[in-house]
Amino acid sequence: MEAHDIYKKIQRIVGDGDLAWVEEERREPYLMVPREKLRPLAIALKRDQDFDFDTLMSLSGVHQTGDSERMEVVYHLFSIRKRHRFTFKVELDRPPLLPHFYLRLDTVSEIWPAAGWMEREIYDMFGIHFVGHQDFRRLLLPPDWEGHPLLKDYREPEAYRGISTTREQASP
Amino acid sequence: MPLATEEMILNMGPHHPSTHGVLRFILRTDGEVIYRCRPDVGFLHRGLEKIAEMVTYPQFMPYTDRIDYLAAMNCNLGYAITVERLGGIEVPPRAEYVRVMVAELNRIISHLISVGTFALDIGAVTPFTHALREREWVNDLFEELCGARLTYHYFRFGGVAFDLPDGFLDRVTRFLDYFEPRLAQFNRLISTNKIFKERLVGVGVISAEEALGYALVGPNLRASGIDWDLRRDEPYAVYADLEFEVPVGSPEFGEVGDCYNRFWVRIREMEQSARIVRQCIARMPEGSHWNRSKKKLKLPPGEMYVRTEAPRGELGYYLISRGEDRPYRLKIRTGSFSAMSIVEKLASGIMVADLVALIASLDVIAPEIDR
Amino acid sequence: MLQVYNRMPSEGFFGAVFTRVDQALNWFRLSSVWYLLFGLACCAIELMQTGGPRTDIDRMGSLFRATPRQSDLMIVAGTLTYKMASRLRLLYDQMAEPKYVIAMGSCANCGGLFQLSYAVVKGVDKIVPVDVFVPGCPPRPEALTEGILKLQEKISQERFLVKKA
Repeated sequence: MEAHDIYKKIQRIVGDGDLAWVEEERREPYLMVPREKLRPLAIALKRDQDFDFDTLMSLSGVHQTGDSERMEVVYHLFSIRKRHRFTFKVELDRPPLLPHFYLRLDTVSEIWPAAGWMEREIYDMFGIHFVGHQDFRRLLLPPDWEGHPLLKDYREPEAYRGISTTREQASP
Repeated sequence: MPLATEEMILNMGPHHPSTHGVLRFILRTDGEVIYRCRPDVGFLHRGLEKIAEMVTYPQFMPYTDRIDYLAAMNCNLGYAITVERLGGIEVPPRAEYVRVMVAELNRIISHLISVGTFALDIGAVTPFTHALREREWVNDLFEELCGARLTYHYFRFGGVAFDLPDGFLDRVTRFLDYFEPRLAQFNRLISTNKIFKERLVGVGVISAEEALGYALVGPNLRASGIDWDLRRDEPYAVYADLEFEVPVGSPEFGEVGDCYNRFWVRIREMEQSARIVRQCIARMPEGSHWNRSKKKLKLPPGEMYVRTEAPRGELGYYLISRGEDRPYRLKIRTGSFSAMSIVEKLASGIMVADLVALIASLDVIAPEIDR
Repeated sequence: MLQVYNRMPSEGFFGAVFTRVDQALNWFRLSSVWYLLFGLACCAIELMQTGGPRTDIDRMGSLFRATPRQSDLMIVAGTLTYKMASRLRLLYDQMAEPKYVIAMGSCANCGGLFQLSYAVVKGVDKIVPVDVFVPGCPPRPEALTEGILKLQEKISQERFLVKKA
């Protein structure tokens, strides 16, 4: 199925409000989804016979800065049996006060088990909480690491457990 | 007197003689049988995605070598194709064929290390030295081509860095003539050995639905019976013009989806890669090897997810560009990451020695998981 | 227990005897430097190739051991991250004296091309004392062999019994 047809069918299943379809040059077309519609959309994409998206190819987080600061979580889906792909994004605000209160999203790890580790990695790098995840903790960094590195305003700590983080210059 | 048994927590620590890199498993075992296995990864997390936002596009190419250092050419290829697609950069035909040739040679040596260390983990030391000896030939060929033995940095945007030296194609043909009988010898040595089969048949079976659900890719997915190969089904570079077969797991080699099938898929893939290299040599066109532009590379704003077939599965680059000379966000999706995420589920109920066989058969490599 | 280390005279008849004993001890030790496999990343593959068929450091007496209790030398091959650093120190402390460390590759020497990264220790010598630095990314097997030969030279200069110069 073509991406636009997928979008039309999604509109019929999940309802039209707040969905935005973006098709621009040098971008694959994608769907912007509000966070409340994430779970019903994911279930529909997996179970519906026309869609049959059995593989979650990639799950990434993006920290968009600029006019408005927001975080995006991008889902790339693929169906091996039907040979079509689809991309959708969920946008989250990142207000300066108590950001972790707002950065919460439903997990899709029961629908696509591959999302289990991918969501842990996004938490590790961006600080987005996934509600309902079975085993939620940091994946790649040590458990006592402070901060979430892939945010654009991340600053490295001076030292970690006594090991300094300075780069030594070559002595003249 | 009744015997009391207790559970033991065993740490298969980040430093261990298995050569898949620094991986750690915390096992809860009752004697030899594992109740629960928790993988702990991140010991080689070097922050490549953050570095991508700090350096320019050409400066990031050496870092892609280090994502999967055994298949550096394939990682370079994926990154080069992503940037070229977003930037609309053309690649001359000679460069396309050279790219496919070196990528397939690299697939051969990556699978050699994979099956060699697999045999080493099971306990057979000699096949590993055979694999290293075969690898030295190709290391010499690559050294002649681009100066490096392991992390090549051979690809550039718009082609490859250096042209083929004189007589290079003859030497590659000589290597292939030497290699194909050696592969048969390797099979006689270990692949059909009865003890090897007893250790592997029926161990760590991954069904097709589990494999799709956990997003397994590459030989792991094909060994579970799903016939999907990006080189044939979503062709890139010149794979559309080449003829090759895609080996899929079959009941002839034990159960579909078990460790023995994953081993055999890799052996058969090596044979097919040799076939592809021969076709590339026969069809190599003349021409320039690098469509070089003097301007500083700035990609227009856009985003793209491009995936290619590396030896360990699908390697996907999700690149977001905001019109500057460096990426805004680069996400790298690797096959070993998904393969590692399935270990926790498969490991309950098997023995510790089977866990070693399972991890070796999934062919994980630590920098791909951690990046 | 009689402490003999670095007490014996270095001149005269006894000096000659004890110097010869020292040299013999050094020769025994440098001819069989067993190394602890500490391959972390890409350099580990070149470490394996160095022990492989073509460049065979078994000729120099070196053999890989998987446990620190049986090894004299630790070759840190690859990038060290903060998460792994405590294990490196633990394994170094578990080795028995006299022990040596070779930092193999750029990442172990100074952080290498990952100096821009937030999670990489910029040089192994922040954690353990290093005897020989082998440059390269990754170093060729011949380069690592030269590093081990330099270490053997260093071992041959040590003094146990005789007073240090």
